[in-house]
Amino acid sequence: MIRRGAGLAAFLVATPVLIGIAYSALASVGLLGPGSTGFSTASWASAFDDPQLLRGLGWSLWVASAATALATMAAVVVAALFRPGTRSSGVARLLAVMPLPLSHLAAGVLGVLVLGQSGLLARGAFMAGWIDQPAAMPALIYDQWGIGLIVVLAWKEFPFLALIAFSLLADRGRALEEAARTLGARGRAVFWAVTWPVLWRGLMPAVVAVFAFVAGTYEATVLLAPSDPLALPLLTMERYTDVGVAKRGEAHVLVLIGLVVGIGAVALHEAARARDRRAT
Amino acid sequence: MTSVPAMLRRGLLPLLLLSAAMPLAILGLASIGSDWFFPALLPGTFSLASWRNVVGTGALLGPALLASAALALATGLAAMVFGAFAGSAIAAATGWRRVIGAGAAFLPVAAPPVALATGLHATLLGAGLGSSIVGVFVAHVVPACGYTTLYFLGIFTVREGGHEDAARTLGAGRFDVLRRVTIPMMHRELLEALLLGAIVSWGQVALTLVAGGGSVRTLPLEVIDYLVAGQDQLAATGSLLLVIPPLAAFGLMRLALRNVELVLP
Amino acid sequence: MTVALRLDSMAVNFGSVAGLTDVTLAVARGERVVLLAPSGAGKTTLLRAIAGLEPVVNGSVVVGGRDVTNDPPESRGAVYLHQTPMLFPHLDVAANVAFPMRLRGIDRDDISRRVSELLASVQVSELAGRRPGALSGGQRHRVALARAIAANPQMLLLDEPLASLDPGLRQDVRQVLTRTHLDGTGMLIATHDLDDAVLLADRVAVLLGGRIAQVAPAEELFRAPATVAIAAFLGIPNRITGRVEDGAFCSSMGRLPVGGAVPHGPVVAVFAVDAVTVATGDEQAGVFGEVVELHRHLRHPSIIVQCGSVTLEALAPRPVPSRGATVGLVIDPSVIHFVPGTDDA
Repeated sequence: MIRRGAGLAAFLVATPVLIGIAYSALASVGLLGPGSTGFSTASWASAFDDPQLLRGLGWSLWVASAATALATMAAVVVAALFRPGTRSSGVARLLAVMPLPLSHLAAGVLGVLVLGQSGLLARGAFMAGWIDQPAAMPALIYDQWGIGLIVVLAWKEFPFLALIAFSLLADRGRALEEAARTLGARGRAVFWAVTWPVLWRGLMPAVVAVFAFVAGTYEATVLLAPSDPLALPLLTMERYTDVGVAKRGEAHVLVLIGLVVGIGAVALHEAARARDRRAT
Repeated sequence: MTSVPAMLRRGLLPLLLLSAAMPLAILGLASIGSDWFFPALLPGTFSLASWRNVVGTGALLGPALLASAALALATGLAAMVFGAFAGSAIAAATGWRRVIGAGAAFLPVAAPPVALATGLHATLLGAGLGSSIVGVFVAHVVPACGYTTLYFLGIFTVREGGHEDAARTLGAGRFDVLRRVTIPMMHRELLEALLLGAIVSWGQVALTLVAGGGSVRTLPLEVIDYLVAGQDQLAATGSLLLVIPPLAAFGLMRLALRNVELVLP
Repeated sequence: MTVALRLDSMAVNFGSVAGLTDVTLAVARGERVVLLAPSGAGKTTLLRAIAGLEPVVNGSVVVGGRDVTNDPPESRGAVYLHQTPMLFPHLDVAANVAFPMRLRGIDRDDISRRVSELLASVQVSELAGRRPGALSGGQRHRVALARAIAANPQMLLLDEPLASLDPGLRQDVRQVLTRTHLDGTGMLIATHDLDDAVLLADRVAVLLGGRIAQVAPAEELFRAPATVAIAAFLGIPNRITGRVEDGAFCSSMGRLPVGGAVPHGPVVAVFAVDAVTVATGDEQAGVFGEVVELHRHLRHPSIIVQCGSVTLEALAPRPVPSRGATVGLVIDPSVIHFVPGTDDA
């Protein structure tokens, strides 16, 4: 549409974020914002003294890693099993991507309705005679390990990764698989020699993007995560909305940590893409 | 004899069906079911009470729905226009300009919404936009523009512009090319970008909470409040309202694409 | 002769490196000039620069008597036709052809009358209501040509119009191009194909090394290439280095008497395959050699003969001699072209 102005475009799209980062950086050392008292590293010190911070960060990274791994595995298995040409595979691929436009919040609500202690799963367990009251149901939401949140996030991210996996196999995989077959490879050998490398290399950037997104997501987390440890996005929000302005500085420290996680993951994402581009 | 992959396929198909059908089924039941307590698998009685909260007097979901829809539409439109220009400009750049452009577009996408919200908040307050729907719009537009810019960057990178060149030498100026060639040829991509931007706004919670200061009530905020208050029926109704428009748009898009593909080679 | 296009010492870069350094060329109204060049020589860049789609670094572009070097593409009066027809997929055939006229705000009735005329002239009248997607490759080319003419240009710039077409379609599109003669419009047709050049051109301009190396009618070009490099590009196989002294061409093959105006001193003798025949009984062979290879061309089979340090390609006699056979060759001195200098191609 236009052939000039890449610099202007970059400036416009990034400036709000850069201003935000600059503000948080200055506010975290007491140079800006309500209650600022001049340069001080107190917020940094207190944030890192607070065991909640490291626990929340670790917890968020754990949830993001587990959910991303689950979603990736599911996408690879489904894409490999329902390649074009196999019976009913078209229907299966459509079903797999159907939840794609669902919002994370709706996914969270479903998580509460299904996985909660009086949710549909618990009612099924009662019908089967495994439990006799809601309290006997193992806690899947608000739980220490974040099982419910992991399941919900994995389910929510699975269609996105599956969609990419489908197109990878349709574009590149098919010809390569056919080549492998004419060279004498069979079933499992084709999967490990062709299907898996194609999927893995092509999915890598999307997998990292999902990880970054999930680590910072607020919507499902606020509905399904426990209050201790408090996930990083929730902790940031809590500190930021704390009535005591002293906590604001800590909030900005947390903001910067969140940015490091998100942008760090995306930097990896870009590196992976560059590698992928070179390799093909 | 049945092979292992065939057995897996047979086992996975019902799971996929469940994953696709469950959201609407459960939210639908929960939204019209009252007295649905443990251990009942189905609601005891059915009522449309929660839907009166959408259209009735004193309804909370209706106004929130309107606010969300207006925000999503405005965000989608703004992000579509911005993304098309920014994406094409960055795609036309080469060398380090392009790397910086692409990196810049990634920033608002990579930044967690909570971080984005707190960072933007002071600026919005400074501009007198705190706790206003315009402020929330501005906050939503920031990540939405990141997504649409990346989307168009991908599209314009592979697009060669031969039709635009042809139009130019046939006598069309820049504006004529835009109006008569690029926009009609790309209406499908533009629509997809509009949808992308709208969806970013539609599901947003953290940015709305911080920029809106709690006084701008969108559908997701109402849903969270109802769920936290244990009002599952209202939460389910709100969620259903949240789920249906993107699902419908997604379906229509696929349908429209199929029709387009019948006409075009 | 009025000039449709004149390029004076025009220079255009390939990206950021120097590409076309010094292009000078004129095309008359109604004239068809073929721009012949090997792949990668910058044919596309040159056409795009004339159309205003690439910046001109130096020199000038004059279209229809007007200097357009710094004008935007839409006001140059030169239409660039991409190798693939680039019809607008959202418009039907008639609307595609009407496109340039709509831009100029021409009256609707006049437009539809002109569209019918143009579609008839390229023989696709029955396709007016179709979408480009429903057309065959040849039909798309016809419509693109009609659309270009509808812009009423001073110059048509066609970029490899026949490449990427299979043989049947090539023939079809060639016909359309040879039949399209526009009195007021010059045509510059880029190609790397020698046959196309011969078929389509009033004159052929050879683009080599970033400049126009020679402009001549096709027949003259093949008979008398200006440089050895041009001869090599044209695929003229017999190029023999030697000297002209005392009315004879002296080379490692011996002396060959030549007549007429021939440059003196070091020269390269250039001649086509059909200038060399195998001596039959009553002919006096000028040179003897060993058949080292047979070329099975569809129409003109030839043999490669090693004569000492010189390799010649000659028309194959019937029956075709076997490899290793010794043959005597006759070279027709009247069709030898002498290029001053030495063979550095």
